[in-house]
Amino acid sequence: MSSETQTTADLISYVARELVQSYRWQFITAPLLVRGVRQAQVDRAVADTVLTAIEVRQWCLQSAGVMLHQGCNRRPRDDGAYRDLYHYLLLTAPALPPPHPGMEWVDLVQETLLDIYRQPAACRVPAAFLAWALTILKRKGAGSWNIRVHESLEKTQALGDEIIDQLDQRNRHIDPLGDQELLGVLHDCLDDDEERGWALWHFYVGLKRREWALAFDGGLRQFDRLHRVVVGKLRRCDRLLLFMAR
Amino acid sequence: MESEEQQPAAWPDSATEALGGRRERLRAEVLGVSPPALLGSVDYARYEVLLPLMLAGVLLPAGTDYTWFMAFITIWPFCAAEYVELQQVFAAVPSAVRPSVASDVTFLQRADPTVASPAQGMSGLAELREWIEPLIAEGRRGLRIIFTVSSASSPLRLAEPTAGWPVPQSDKTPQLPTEIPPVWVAGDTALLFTAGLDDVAPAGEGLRYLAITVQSGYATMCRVQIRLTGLSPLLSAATQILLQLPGGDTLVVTPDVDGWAYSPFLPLAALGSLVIIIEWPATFFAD
Repeated sequence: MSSETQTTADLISYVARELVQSYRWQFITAPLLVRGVRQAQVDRAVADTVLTAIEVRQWCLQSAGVMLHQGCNRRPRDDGAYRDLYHYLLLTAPALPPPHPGMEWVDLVQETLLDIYRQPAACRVPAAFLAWALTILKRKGAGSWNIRVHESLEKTQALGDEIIDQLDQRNRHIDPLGDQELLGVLHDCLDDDEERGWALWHFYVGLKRREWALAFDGGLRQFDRLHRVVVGKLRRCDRLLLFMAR
Repeated sequence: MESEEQQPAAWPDSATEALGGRRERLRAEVLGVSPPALLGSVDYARYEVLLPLMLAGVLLPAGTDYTWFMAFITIWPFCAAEYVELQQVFAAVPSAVRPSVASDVTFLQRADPTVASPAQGMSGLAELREWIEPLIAEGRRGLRIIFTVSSASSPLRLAEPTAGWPVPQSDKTPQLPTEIPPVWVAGDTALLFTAGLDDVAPAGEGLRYLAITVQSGYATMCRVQIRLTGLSPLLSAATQILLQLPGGDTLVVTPDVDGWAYSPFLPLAALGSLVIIIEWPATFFAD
């Protein structure tokens, strides 16, 4: 074994241990993961290829996906595989766009597990199993914004017909009060006028990335930086989330 | 996954324009909600199928699907942004889980002035959970959850054993809120307890099959939400939940397709004498 191949082997062991510890996996162990990656390398005839850290991580996640796919398809149910998948999704979820304030990630993860349990074979490429589960979870988080909150009959009666009529007639597309409130929310959620200016430019005016580059010296790099900062702050801003939930 | 050579359909307007109004742009970029203009199209369906394969790196860069995917996200910046973001999420080392607003149960401790620390306050939840799970494992077909409080500040006490029904022997059970905290806005929920299949994981983890939360309404009204989930036929329509209301009436509620069942809105104090009886479907323990 050459020194470069040995380096790749060490890297695989390191990344495998890191993944198992980070995601609190028990069904998948580091030795199993290493063995899975090595087997995949042999299968693809790239056993002696030197891999970068990013590639090793990708191979490890593919190998973990294959193992979890097998475990989740097993009957009777293999709780260990589902528990590892649960930990993976729950620990990854906070990096996704936030769900409706009335929903918790833990519940959306449960729904994702339930979907997978009902149709585990729907994932046709086992190596993409983790990415497949992650996209299901992401869709569930986004979908939570389209679900109307259940209202009880008692609550509806308490509100009274007059208020209900007002709510029904409210058209958010021509809602000056709502627009003013949104401006106030953007002001409070963002920290300086550069961020607020970008939010108005992008969300209100709807101008595009290349138009920003034409108009400002900062160019595309500044646009992308502000995009990342502003979207991150808005996702963490409870006021905006509650406004959007209404 | 490779398929015939095909180019994604071009859209008449740029994606940003097609997103529509400012709220749609906010929903798409901040909340990750797919733009309505995309939904239902054949191209978007193909994009959704290919997305996990691209994230996992299993598509060959020279392949048809790979080429089609890259062309599609060039047309739709929303999809390009989603792909890049999910790539980063997929490649990132996980960070600590942030508790959400809905899982904040600190008001349970604030309701009891004798509770010294949050850890002690949570022990009641853990004990009730520890008590329920062995009963389920024994094959009990039903579960009776009785909330009673003798006074506003006393801990929750569960009723005496009833023939045929399991009830806890300990009075160290969760205390219900006696007032809605000022920060609790209408619609907020707080978890009362969960029961799950995983008896070693902390509350909130594991494969939960039952969660009972209280949701605030207006003024001092609230309602109990009972949610049945899990890897078992709990969502069966055969599952019945009986709510014995403080006035003596019994209400039969059936969980909806998502597993949710609701009590009527009640005064918060009335929770202290609410009885919830859950009858599992006969097939539950066969799983």
